[in-house]
Order: sequence, then C-alpha cells, then structure tokens
Amino acid sequence: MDMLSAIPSFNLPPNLPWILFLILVGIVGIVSLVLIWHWYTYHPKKSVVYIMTALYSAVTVILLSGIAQAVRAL
Amino acid sequence: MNLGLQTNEHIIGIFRKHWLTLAAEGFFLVLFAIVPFILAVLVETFLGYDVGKIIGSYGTILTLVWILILWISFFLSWTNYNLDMWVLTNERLIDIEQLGLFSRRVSTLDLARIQDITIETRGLLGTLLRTGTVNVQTAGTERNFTIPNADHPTLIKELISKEVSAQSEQKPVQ
Repeated sequence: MDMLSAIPSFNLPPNLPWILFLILVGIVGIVSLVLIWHWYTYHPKKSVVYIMTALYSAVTVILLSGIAQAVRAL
Repeated sequence: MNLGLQTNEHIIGIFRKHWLTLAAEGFFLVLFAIVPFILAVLVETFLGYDVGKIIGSYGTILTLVWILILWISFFLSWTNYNLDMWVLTNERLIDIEQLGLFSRRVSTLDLARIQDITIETRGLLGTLLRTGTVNVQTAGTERNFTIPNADHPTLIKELISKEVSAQSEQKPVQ
C-alpha cells in the first residue's frame, strides 16, 4: 500500500477566509478599544483625542473593508 | 486625566519628548509599509513575472494586513509618546511613564526636594532641534527624574527652577 494514501486527506472549509477575517476584525477591535480607552482616560487634550480617534477609526475601517473585498474576490 | 491634584495645586506645564522621536518611528513604519510594493516592482523588473497575476487576491490581503499592522503600530507609538510625560504643578513634578499598553508608572516629586537640574544637549541635531536630556536631582537616595530627548530642555529647566524658587519663598527652610 502506498504510504501517501495512508495519510488522511481533509478539505479546508470553504468559509475559512471569512473565519480568519472575523478573527482579524476581533483582534483589531480589541486593540482599538484598548488604545482609544487609553486616549480618553489619560490624554490631557480631548480635542486631540477626538481628531485622532476619527482618523484612526476611518483608516482602520477602510483597510478592513479593503481586506473584506479581497476575501470576497478569492 | 486624573492626577489627584490637591486644593490650591494647578498645572504649570506638561512636557514630552521631542516630536522627532515619534517622527523617526513613523518614518521607519512608512519604509516598512512600502516594502511589499518595492519587492513587487523589483520582481516584475528583474525577473519579468507578473506579480499581480501570481499572488492575486492573497497578495492583496497580505499587503493590506501588513499595512493594518503598521498603522496600528504607529498609533501604539503615538500613545506611548503622548502619555509619556512630565507634569509640572506649583507643588510637585509628576513623572508619568507609559511603559506599554498595560503598564504605566507615575512618580511624584515635591518641588522642595529638588536640589539640582541639569540639561544635556548633544550633537548638531540636538542643538538645531533644541532637544536634550533633562535630569532633576533630588535630595537623599531617591531616584533622579530624567526625561530623555526632551523638547526645549532649557525652557523646562527655567520653568522648574522658577517654581522651585517660588516654592522655597513660600515655605522658607526653618
């Protein structure tokens, strides 16, 4: 009997890229919440915090939506 | 920002490291961000492969994830830069050290305990950009307060000296 045929074959779930994408969104979400919490708790100037939160959130959402589009194109 | 200021205590100034320390980190992150594009151009130019066709959507995903990691890294640096500061009040000097996202050290020093303030500016860049190290020496065996790569060290020294003088006039040594 061929040695290779003894190795059980398995198929990756078709929605694996989406599962990985959701894990990525979860990690980014937790890191972002921690970051923004730090800014609002410790930064002395709230106006700076508002601008940085808006900039950070906007670009992060754009990057995540770009990744989602690329995952859809797979 | 809750510093636990006492009654009659007010903030005179907030000092941070020079903005160039953050800019340097940002510069390296931008360099890292363009690495995948430079690699793609090099492979296309010298090896003649159509990189877009070979890597397809996987390449796009990896590149975007890479840029996302660098983007978040920049904001981690920005957080460290902004929350790592010295606060001078009319009573105390508060040294806030942001050691990481979940690590923070706050030390306070009564102005009356300050014995000497030294500043050290090194090199051409340090002189031109007015950056240097401020070292506040205290009485006894307490640890010294040091702010490396401080923005306008001379100004910081003058402000602290002024407040120390005002403090000693208010509370003369018995």
